[in-house]
Amino acid sequence: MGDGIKNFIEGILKELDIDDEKKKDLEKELMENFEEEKDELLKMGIKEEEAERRILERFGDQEKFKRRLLFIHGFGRFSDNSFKNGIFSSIPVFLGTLLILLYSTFHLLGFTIEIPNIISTLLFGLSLLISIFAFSKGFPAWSFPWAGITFVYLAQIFLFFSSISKLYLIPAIIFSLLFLLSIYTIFKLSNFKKGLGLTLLFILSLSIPFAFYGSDEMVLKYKILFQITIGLFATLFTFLLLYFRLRLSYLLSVLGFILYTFSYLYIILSPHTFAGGENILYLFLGYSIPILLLISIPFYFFLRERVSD
Amino acid sequence: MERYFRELKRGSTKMIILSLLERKEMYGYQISKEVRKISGDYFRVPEGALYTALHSLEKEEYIEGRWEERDGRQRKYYFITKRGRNLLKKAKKEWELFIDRLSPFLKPGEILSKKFSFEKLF
Repeated sequence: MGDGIKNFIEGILKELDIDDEKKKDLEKELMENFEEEKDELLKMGIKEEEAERRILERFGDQEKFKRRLLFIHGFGRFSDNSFKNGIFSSIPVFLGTLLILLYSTFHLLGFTIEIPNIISTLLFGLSLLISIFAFSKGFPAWSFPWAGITFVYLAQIFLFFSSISKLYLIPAIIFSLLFLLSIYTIFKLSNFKKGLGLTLLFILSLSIPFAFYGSDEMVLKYKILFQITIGLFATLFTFLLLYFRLRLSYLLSVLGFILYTFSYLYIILSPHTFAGGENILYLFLGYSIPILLLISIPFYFFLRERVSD
Repeated sequence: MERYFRELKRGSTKMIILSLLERKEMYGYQISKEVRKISGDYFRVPEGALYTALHSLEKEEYIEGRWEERDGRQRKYYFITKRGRNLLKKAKKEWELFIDRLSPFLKPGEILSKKFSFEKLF
């Protein structure tokens, strides 16, 4: 087989984040078929270079092929490594929820505000590292919520302003309106805008709970500027990823965040004082139901696949 | 307009593949040749699109790929599964219904003949 075709196949396989076995299978299949096609063209008296050119022309766009294969075999699919997807995608949301819980109860545990701040920064660092790692691995489905966690800090831009104005509900209302706009965008508009809408939804649904912290003194000017810079870069990355690799399974992941968001909206609109730990029932409903749902949704798909196997 | 017809053809790729595999098992390149031959070159599916359609059908268990050696060559042959046959059966019915319901729009005379066919009343 000539270098042109070999390079073409290598180009397809390179950076194609699917199982090694599938990769080898695909390589063998393409190689075999190209060889047969080439033999036929050579028998017709066509020169080798011309034959290869025709084969590649018939094959079509290499990038499009790669992207379609990713849609089918890897990226965002729960069917490959479902267990891993289920567990790994639940962890960041669970940790994020624990963090929020810690913020609301740290004084009851005898901690100062620095403790949840340090843990929050560590979680942010961990999520950022995992997201970067996942990006290098073709951004599998389980890493999607990890990227979402890194966006949480973006919400602090709103907190910064709300801490000045003392109008704590304003960021929550803005987030909610943008959230609804995102849902509308996802279902009504084109694929390009779907990517944008999902990205917004993803960021905003995680950001809403942080509207609570408008009254805390944790918001420091320089820290926020740093976080905004990272948040915007991460937003851009996710937008590009969603645009090129959107799949229905992401919508399922996002469903978890929608439920999460509505639960927090419920808390925002309910008559309780967040830092005071009053109205335990609201807190319980707000935290435990989303946690249960977020963990059970990926497991539901895992179990459903196991049963159907 | 060109794009419209291209998309219409692209939408038929999976149904064409299943129809061919219902007749006999085939490998990728063979399917590509058969499609061109049977359609008189009307359907020219780029091979990249053909392989992705095959892999997608395989993933959804409508077809099954097996490596076999025939005529001295190792090839991945695709077989239609029971699930695939059921899908094809439904797709054929849907297609017939589609044609049936579309043709009166394309041939307006047929609407008139159906509307005013008094003979059919007796």
